[in-house]
Amino acid sequence: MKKSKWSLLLTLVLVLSMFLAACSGGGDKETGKDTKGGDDGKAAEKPAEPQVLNLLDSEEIPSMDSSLATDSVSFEVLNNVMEGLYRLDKDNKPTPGVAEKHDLSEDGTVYTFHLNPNAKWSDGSKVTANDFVYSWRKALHPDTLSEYAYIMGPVKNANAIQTEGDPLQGKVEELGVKAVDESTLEVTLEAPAPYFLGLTGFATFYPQKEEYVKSKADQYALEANTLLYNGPFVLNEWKHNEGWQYKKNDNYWDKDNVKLDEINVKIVKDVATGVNLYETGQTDITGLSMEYVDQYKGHEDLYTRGEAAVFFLRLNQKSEALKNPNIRKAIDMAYDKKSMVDVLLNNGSTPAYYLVPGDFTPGPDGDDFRKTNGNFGKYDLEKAKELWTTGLKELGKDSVELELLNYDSDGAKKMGEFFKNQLEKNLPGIKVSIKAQPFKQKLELESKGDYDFSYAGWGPDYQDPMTFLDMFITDGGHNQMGYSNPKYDQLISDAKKETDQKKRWEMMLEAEKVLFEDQAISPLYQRGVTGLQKPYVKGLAHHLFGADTSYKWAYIEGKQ
Amino acid sequence: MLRYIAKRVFSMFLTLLIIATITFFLMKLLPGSPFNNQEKLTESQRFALNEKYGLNDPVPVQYINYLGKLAQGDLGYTFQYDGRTVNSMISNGIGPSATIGAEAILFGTLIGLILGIAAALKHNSVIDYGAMVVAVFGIAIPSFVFAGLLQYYVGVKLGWLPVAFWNGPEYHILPAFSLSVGVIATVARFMRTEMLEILGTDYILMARSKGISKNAVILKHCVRNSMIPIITILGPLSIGLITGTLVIENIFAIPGLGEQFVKSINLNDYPVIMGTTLFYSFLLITIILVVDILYGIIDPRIRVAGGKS
Amino acid sequence: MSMSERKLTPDLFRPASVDTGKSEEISKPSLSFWQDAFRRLKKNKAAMLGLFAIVFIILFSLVAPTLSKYGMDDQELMRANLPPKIPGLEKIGFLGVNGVDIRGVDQYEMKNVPANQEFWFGTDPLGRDQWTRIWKGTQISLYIAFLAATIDLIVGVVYGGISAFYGGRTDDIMQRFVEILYGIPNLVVIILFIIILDPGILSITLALVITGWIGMSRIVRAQILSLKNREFVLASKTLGSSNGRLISKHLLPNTLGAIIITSTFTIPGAIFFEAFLSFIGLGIQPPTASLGALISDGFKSLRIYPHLAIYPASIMCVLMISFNLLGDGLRDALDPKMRR
Repeated sequence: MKKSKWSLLLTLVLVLSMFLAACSGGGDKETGKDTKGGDDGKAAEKPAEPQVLNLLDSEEIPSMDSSLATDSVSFEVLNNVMEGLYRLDKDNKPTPGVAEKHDLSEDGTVYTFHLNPNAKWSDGSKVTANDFVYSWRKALHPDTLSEYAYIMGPVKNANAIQTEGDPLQGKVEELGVKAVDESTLEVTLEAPAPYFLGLTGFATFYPQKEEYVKSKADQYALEANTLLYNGPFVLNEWKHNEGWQYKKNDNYWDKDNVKLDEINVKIVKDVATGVNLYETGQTDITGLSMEYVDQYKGHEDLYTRGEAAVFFLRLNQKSEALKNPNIRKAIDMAYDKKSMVDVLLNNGSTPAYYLVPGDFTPGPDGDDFRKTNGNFGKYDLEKAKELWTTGLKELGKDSVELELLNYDSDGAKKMGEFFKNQLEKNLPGIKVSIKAQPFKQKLELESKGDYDFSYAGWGPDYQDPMTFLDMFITDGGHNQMGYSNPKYDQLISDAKKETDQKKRWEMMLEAEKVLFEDQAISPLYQRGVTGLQKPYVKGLAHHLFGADTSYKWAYIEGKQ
Repeated sequence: MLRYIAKRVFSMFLTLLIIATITFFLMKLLPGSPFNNQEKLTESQRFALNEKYGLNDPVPVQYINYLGKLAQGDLGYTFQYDGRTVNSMISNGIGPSATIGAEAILFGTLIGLILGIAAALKHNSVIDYGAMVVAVFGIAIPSFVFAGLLQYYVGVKLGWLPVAFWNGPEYHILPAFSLSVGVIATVARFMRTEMLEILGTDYILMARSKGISKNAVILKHCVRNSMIPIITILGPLSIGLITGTLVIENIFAIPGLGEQFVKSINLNDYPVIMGTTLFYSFLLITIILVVDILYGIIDPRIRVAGGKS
Repeated sequence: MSMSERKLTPDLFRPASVDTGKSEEISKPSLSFWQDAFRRLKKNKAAMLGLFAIVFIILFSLVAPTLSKYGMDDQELMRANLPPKIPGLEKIGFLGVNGVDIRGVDQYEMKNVPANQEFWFGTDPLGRDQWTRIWKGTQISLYIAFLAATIDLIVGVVYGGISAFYGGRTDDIMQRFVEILYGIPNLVVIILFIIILDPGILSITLALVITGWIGMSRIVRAQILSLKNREFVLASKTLGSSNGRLISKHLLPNTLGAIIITSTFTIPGAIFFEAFLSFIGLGIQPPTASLGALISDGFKSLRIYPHLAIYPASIMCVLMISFNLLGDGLRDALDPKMRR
């Protein structure tokens, strides 16, 4: 699990002017209240007003085939029309989906899932264990060319099947998943993975009905009516590039808890248009970019929400100057993260002095990873200048020219200007040039290592610090900056094998410390999102990884 | 005439072939791969993906294959969306784009003509200055500013028209109007100049002195003769609208072609970039051809066969 | 003096001398074509106003940045998004330059900006002085536009001139090439061009030129084609003028009018197109800014910080109008058909 499509998404979102309209929702208070309503929610309790939610999204759905989906829009739609063994609830805890319950073997590697007999496809047929076996194997099959297949890594043999030259390569029958009978699924893992249950709610793990998929052949999942659904909603209409409409799924096993009848999503790329639509009541939620936050400051509909994505500067250690740790440390200390977040981003983001985000993963002792490890580094001009001079001396130069590789979105460009200005003002002898590139080109330059430092971001694939930490192992696919420390590599590979959760946690804490002793990256901020949401929209569940939002428990109250 | 058209159609296809060639090789210069999760792909996956899209072949082979498919009207598959063809993307997007484009041209030409004629007839009067102020402002304000202001004031503040989307006739008004502002300005200024020129010609004086009523002269001679050159500027104007639709579609959330084009560039979606470029070029060349032919038909003074200036 | 006393006698009359040479004499001072054109241009108030505005804006954009103590990229986040404040004019409410934003809060007070710091056009989200940025941006917009127009002019005139002057096969081949270029939507060419090069002043200018010269070359070609067969050219040719002399003494001077007019419209076109490129994110790269980039940035916060969009938009508007007025005026002045 070296890399994550997530970061691509998150950054893509950033590229698109940090505008993710559809993924914004209400505060925690509401969701808390709603939990109760959901538990004993019966049809009779359903509020009398029309249960219609109107939303915006910034993108067309790239893929509705759960084995091929790679982006946040696809994940979100799939999450609401499909269901895996488990799904994430409002508190990001796994809650039963197609599986009613599961048994876990003593060594933590064999899960036996008991499927809910009421779980049905939208054509009325039962969701069986074979549907999972089929889709999981399909995702790993070399012909499928699934870009997200690596997410299945924890399952036995999944990595071997994907590895070139491995005797198991392409032999999907060897995957550690077995249909014991129609409603019992047995999954064997390589090693215990405490986050696996949450992972089964991830799109790549959704079931697909073999018979149906094959009957549709290359038309499968291209249109709303060439797809079978097993989630709380079905896609009723899908007008490409214009929008789509969800309708409540009458065949859903838990339909009594689904209150919304209809969700209309329209594609809008311009933030100003989104705001105007919000003001005229044509959408219930809209995302805001930094310019609009001041305008709505103090407005009761304004919300901000922290996310688990962390943005940072990659410091390329193939670059002559940045090879020097003092130079790297000086750069990290030489700009003011606090004002950057408060003034420039202005969207609920928090300054980051770390890699693993806060409020993301509690350890075995119940304490958040962040709380245990604390912050690394701070804004300290004096120290920065001192380190900088030392660094320059070690290099034997009195000036350094660095190229900042940047995204070409408006927000990112502004950040780039800020770095340039701050560094040039605070570090004598530095000259920063900015290279802003479209998303794809930027990634290409990054993976070639053709830059000095770059503005990058990372979002989690699963709820575990490892999704961030294993990025920076030597030659890791997403390392991309020539960072290498044998001690770090050792800690990560040991942690991956460790069965004792406590020890594993310790190793990961230690690894992050090593990373910052080396100042491999200069963290910027943990992203927040901000937007407007009508007060009558209740019960939205927001997730830190996988799909952004679940509408299963959402409802409308008090609109009229 | 027929021979001329045949010759033009032939050279049109030649032009398209050259454009296809140029864009094809330009695409090969673009850095970056078109696949979504490029760093995550294993070597074999990347190879298989390249194989699937024929990107492993030598460039000349790819080029021949592309032309072969192109000859059958097949523009290939997009990389952005699973299993969708470029043809289907273009046919989905062209409807709205062409609709607002055509509406803007029609509306803009009509209003532009009225303004231009009024200004010329009341030369150096308040009407003349008023019309020209409108025309000059029309070309002095960037379309994204104009569209944004319209959306806010007419859509939100006054609530008269829908803010965005593409659902029915009333949804066309704001985008088409925003787009037509440039057309109005250009046509009005052009028409005014033409009219002024023709009003001063001898044959108009002659017609007037023979006792033909003023209105009849204006309608039968002035306006009709001034209209002819207007047709020539319609070609370049329609081309200009391609740029305009791009902005307007973004602001009014219209599922058109322009947005797709910009996005496909950012995502290295070669087939869509090439397909859309070719499609735009085809449209453009056809418009130029039609305008040239129309011109020949309407104005007998111009002998088409003699070539164009 | 009584009238009756005067009698008309024949000796009061004498025959006028008939001097055939004199009948051809021009009593008014003779004016060259350019003097005449300028005289007509001077009479056109709108065009003169335009010319004056252009000259003023050009000069001012060079001088104005030095009037502010802040540089183009002097950031200070603590003074971000300040509204305009001009000392001395603060009391005049309707000008809105008293440092109070549209919510009625004195931002200078609220953000504790030192009393000696005033920003005549306010500040942007990075706390940079908009006055400096706007005038520098004007410089850049004008620079791009003039550069594009100049290269357009050179390439277009040479290409169109050669094509028309030599005619025949040369003309045919050159015109086929133009047709192909003309057939590719310029937007497509420009975007591809900017993607392949890095966005920047030079690549934007070149991109504008790539498609821009075609219009110029067509006009020059048409003009020269029609001039080429006129009597005065034929006469000069018969008298043994070299090609160089034909071109420099007869063809070019007579095409100049059309060339100047086309250029006056190319310049605002380039400014406009650059603004459009900024809107789709392919324009000038920060921290440099053009008028177009400032407008498209500022437009997003129009409702909360109107000063960010209004000032650059006004300058751009004035520039566009001025160039168009001047262009119209020049056309009237230089077009012999318009001579009344």
